[in-house]
Amino acid sequence: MISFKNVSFAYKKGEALLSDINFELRKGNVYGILGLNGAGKTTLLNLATGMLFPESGSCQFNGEEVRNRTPKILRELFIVPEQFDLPKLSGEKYTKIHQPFYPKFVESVLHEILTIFEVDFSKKLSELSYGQRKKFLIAFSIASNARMLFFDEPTNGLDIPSKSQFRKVIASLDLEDRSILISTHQVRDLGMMLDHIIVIKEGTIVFNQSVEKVTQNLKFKKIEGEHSDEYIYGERTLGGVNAILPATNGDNSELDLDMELLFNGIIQKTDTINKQFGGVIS
Amino acid sequence: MSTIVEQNSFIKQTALLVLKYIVLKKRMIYGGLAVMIGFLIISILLTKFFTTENQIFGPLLFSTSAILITYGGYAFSSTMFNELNSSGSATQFLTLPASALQKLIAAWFVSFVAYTAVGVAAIYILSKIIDTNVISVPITASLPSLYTYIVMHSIFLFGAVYFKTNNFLATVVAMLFVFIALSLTFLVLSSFMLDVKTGYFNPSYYINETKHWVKILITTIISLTFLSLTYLRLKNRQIA
Repeated sequence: MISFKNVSFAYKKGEALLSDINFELRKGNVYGILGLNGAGKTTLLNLATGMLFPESGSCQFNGEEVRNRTPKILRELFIVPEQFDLPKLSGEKYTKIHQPFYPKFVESVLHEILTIFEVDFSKKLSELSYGQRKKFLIAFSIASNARMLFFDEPTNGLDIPSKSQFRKVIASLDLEDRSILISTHQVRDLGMMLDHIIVIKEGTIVFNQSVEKVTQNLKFKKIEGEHSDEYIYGERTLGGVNAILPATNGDNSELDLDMELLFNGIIQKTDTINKQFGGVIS
Repeated sequence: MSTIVEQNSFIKQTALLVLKYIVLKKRMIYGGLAVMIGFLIISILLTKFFTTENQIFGPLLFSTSAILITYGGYAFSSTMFNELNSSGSATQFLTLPASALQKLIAAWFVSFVAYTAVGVAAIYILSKIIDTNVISVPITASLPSLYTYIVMHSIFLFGAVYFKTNNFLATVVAMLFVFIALSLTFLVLSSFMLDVKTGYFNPSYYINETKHWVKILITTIISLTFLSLTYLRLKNRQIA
């Protein structure tokens, strides 16, 4: 659906934030873009939705340049930014004036999700808390039935029950013909929802693998003592080390996929981790 | 057949955008209407008590309200793309499934057609209240002509998308600079454009002497130029 081909971008000339980005987002997946603060995750989302234009390369949705921002493209892309302002309208009024722009919008889905999120539809959006407003926009984006949803740090500002509600809602979605891209640095919150992981480091994609491949190639295990020669990457914990090891045939992970450990491993030992995937980034 | 469907869809979407602009600017519109109604009430009261003693009140009130409506219109046009001024709301505007052309047409319709219609209606009501023939009021000469109004509107609409903050003031300041630059240019050219009657440079002489169709043509060209620039700016505007 979305493809980035040799995309480079800089806010200031000569200071590239993203360089030579190549990847493709296919339908049916929940993608996670992970990276440290300032790695360029939000910029990548803005490029994917046509709000920023690449300095070089192209970003396309189904073969059409996203930067053209045609209604046909825009009704298939919906972004929930990390920071946003909503007009001083009730949820009902907001829906009434924005819904007609999304021909596949299903109002019953909006009501259903807002009920799960416990957001009052009739209240003025400006009177809702930041987290409530975020949940409203997430619900609206899902109800729009856009084929590509972008969530930028969706759990920032959400309380613990809301984070859990968000995970449940995303897990219940039918993704046969659509995809979700979640950008986050809070890997612990969202790690289990993802089925594809993309990691950005210093303006380039350093890791791009499906969770299935990760579990096929890596093992997450708690090792007693310190046997640093056994593992690729490890973090000390009480009584041992939480480690990433190469997976051998039929050797299941002792620990579930630990997204935070994987992320830290990729950031610290990029090449070593990628070697487990034959040295191929994607 | 598909072209007809596309055209219908284009018109329908533009109408939806008009509705969206009106809903989003509801507070501003209500505020403007409140000022207008307040002004009308004051006018009624003033004309009722003072008309017989001081005939200047009618024309004065009329011209003041007309000036307020005209410049209020410019200020209103400057706010049409305020959503773009903050990154928090720009996302909503830029990713709304409508083309840049539709967004421009809707903004132009609300700020020019709809606003002018309401403004003219207000002036008409006022003229009835103070019992003044609109055309006979001499002070209306100080108001900008319809041509100027059309051109100025397109300039303020361009300012609304070009500048990122204080769009009205920024446009006024920019126009002032352009005016100074043009004045200097005219000064240089004045030796070639002497008034044949007085022997002095007199721009109004040339303006008054210009034929009606030339004024229409110039107005159309200038306003279309600014509207095209607004469209291009809107199409290429990025979040930053």
